[in-house]
Amino acid sequence: MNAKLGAPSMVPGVVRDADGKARSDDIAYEFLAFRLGAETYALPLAGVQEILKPPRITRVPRAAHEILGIVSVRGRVTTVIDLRRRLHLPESPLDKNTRVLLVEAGDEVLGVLVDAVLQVYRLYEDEVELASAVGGDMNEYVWGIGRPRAVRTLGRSTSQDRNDPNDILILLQAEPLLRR
Amino acid sequence: VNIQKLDHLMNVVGELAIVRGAVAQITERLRSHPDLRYMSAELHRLSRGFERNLTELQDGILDVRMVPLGQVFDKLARVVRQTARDARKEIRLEVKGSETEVDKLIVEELSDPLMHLIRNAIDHGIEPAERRRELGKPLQGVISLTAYQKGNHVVIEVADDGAGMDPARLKKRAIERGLIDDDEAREMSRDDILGLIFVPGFSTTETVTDLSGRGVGMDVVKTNISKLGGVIDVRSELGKGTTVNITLPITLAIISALVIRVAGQTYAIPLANVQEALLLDPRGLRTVEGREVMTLRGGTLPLCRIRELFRLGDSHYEAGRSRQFVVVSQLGARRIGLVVDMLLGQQDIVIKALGKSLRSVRGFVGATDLGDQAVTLVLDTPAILEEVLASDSARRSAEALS
Repeated sequence: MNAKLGAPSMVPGVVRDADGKARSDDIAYEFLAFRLGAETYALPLAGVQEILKPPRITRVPRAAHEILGIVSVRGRVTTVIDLRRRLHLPESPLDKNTRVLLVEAGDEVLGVLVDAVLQVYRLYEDEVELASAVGGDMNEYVWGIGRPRAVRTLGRSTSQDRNDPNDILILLQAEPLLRR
Repeated sequence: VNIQKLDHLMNVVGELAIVRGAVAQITERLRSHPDLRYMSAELHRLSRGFERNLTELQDGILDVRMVPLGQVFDKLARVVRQTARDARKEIRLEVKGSETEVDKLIVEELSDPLMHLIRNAIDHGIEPAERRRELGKPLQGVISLTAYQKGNHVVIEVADDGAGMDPARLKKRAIERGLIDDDEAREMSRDDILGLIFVPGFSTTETVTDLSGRGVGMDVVKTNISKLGGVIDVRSELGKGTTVNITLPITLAIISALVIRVAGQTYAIPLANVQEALLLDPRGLRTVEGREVMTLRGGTLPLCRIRELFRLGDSHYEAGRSRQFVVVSQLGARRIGLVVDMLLGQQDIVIKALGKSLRSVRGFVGATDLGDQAVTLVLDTPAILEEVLASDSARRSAEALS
């Protein structure tokens, strides 16, 4: 598989200059990072419509395991999936940091339940390893691994830095999150 | 008018209704405060005004969606003339109630099923002129197309004064096609037998003609009508004619629903699918071939426990309740009793579609906002009925094999 970055359909959130031209020399991707358990995941920022505190979720009997249920967002019925279940992580109760991201996944807007929203990362080409290049048994929803230099090179490199969970971002793509 | 735009407006109205509900709750809370009683009364007055205007807005939007059935009926009149000429039959079409108004979406979906019914009436219903002369009937056959409003529903009748259907022949055909066996045939009521024409794989014509009998059967007509939340049934008298009755909700936008609770979950059931609701008498329960049934006015009503169907588990929530209720639902000639814990009441609801991600989940037509912040699922009773009865017959044939 071609590991080269920047196939247009695969470029989530290319940073553009004020004149609208993409900066071709240092293409960047914008990802919204969030926490799930001990790990940091991220979704393309361009596809994230909104961040909500978890509304009351109505269970849907006989729906797939990862589907938590439905909520109404300004009159529109939206399916909410539990990303922990989808990624086969142990479940944990909702707390005050729990959020629902409204994410465009194909032609549907999905609610995605995450433990906590962290920050937006702007990643340059050399900070991203595509899943296809990394190999191993990566799931189809993993787009790649992000290693934000800013975090790695901030200050002196200490053992504490290396243990920072922000060290590695697992970059997801929204559309395959529902496919089984 | 673009229906999508109207749907959007309807969503906004739905949202406003929720705001109104919230305001009413706050008003209620303020009233218990002695210092704030005056403000509460004022707020109450305002919210009543708000409600009045909201209702008017809602009615207005619904009104824009409505079109007269005459739009379809005119088209059908042309079909009758053409088809009658092709079949060399003399037929008069009598149309009544073309001014009756129905939701635009429904009218658009009605034209195919009605066309099919009319073709059936011309092809299989009305006898050739010579035969009518022998029978002493007027040479000219009459097909009548009648529409009228009945509460929140519109009834459309397609009637002919033709040959009618012969229950014995229907039964024989169904047995030949393997749709029923001899024992079942013996136990069937007259209505059950007529209902056979809606079963997939059933066609009474001995010869396939150009007009009907092209594989698109009455089962498709029924499916189309069910999709619109409607019910279809048929009455027929041998030698006198056949009447097909279609009952449809006036609008798809707002429907009346029965709100129920089971295992701590709230669901809405479209009233169009509800015949009646009654208290479950545990002493009246029996089991027939593994399916719980009860006797209702001399007939056997198969039951479906929603708690079990949806695997809602033995919630401690209402485990101690001894009282349960049966919501009787019908689809054409078949009925089923849905067993629930509580009847919460009747409410007008706006059904919203579920996302694509839930398309494979059976049993729900959509969801609605009841105004208490959480979304409520709306049950697809026809689908549940089909599912339960299909699983019963699958189990029966599995048992027969073993």
